Amino acid sequence: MTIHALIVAHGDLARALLAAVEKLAGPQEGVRTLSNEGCDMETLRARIQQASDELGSGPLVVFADLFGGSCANASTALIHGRPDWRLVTGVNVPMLVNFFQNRERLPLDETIDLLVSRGRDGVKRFPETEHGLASRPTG
Amino acid sequence: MAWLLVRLDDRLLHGQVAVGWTGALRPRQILVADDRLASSGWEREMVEASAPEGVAVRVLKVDEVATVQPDEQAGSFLLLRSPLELARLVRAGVRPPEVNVGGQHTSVGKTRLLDYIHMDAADAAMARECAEAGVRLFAQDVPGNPRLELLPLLSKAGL
Repeated sequence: MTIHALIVAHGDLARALLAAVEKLAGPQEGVRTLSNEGCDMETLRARIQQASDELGSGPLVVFADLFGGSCANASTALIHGRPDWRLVTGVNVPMLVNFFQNRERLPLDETIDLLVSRGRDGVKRFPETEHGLASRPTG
Repeated sequence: MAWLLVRLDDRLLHGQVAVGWTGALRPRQILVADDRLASSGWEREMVEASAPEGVAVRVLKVDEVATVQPDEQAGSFLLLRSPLELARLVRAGVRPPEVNVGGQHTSVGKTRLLDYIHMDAADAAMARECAEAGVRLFAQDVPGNPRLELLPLLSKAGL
């Protein structure tokens, strides 16, 4: 069963993030985006609930922009008691691309493990730190 | 000919290739054939360092593509900047049956074919030369988007 996605973020980020990801990985189905703009927590939870209803039954990954932010907090409350819902915070482009490219072929938790790892791997610094350079083999 | 994907894209190795096409087709190697890149040490290093996970990236000159053996072509992407480089390969006897046309961005004197493809009369002449040699050209920016024959788009744009 296709894993659905719901991206919840501040301002226009969710919609813009999906647009960017579709520029890279092509158009996607089974995904909705939401903003917390103008929402108290109750309204935000209701919006998330409504969007998940529209996506239909089955496994769902909620992607929120900020751990500890309202989007993530509202999602945490909803995920409680739903065995096939997951929440991932700190959503970014490599993470979402990886999700869309693997959700058809991997089980839910393996999909999540991989996208979390890829999302982290996408964060790099240049030039590398002294420490980073010193720890690499020389010659 | 066994290339997994031959693509014309003036950004060469970038997100749509490193993420979109690589994720969809899973190449083991990406060959970037570009004379300018091949002759610039630091630019070449940058491209090779941006290799997607598990994929080898090699920068080479356009003329060197003719020496790439079929077993190396299998499972590999070949990236070229424009129809000019493809025509050079075709003249050297390299004739992939199908070529994917991706980003050809706008500049002075270019006509829009699609949002991501802009060409001028010289580009069109090169593309037609390749088509006459048996190379079919299809426009498609990323997997999942429509795949369109290039020649009718050229005619429609008056090129």
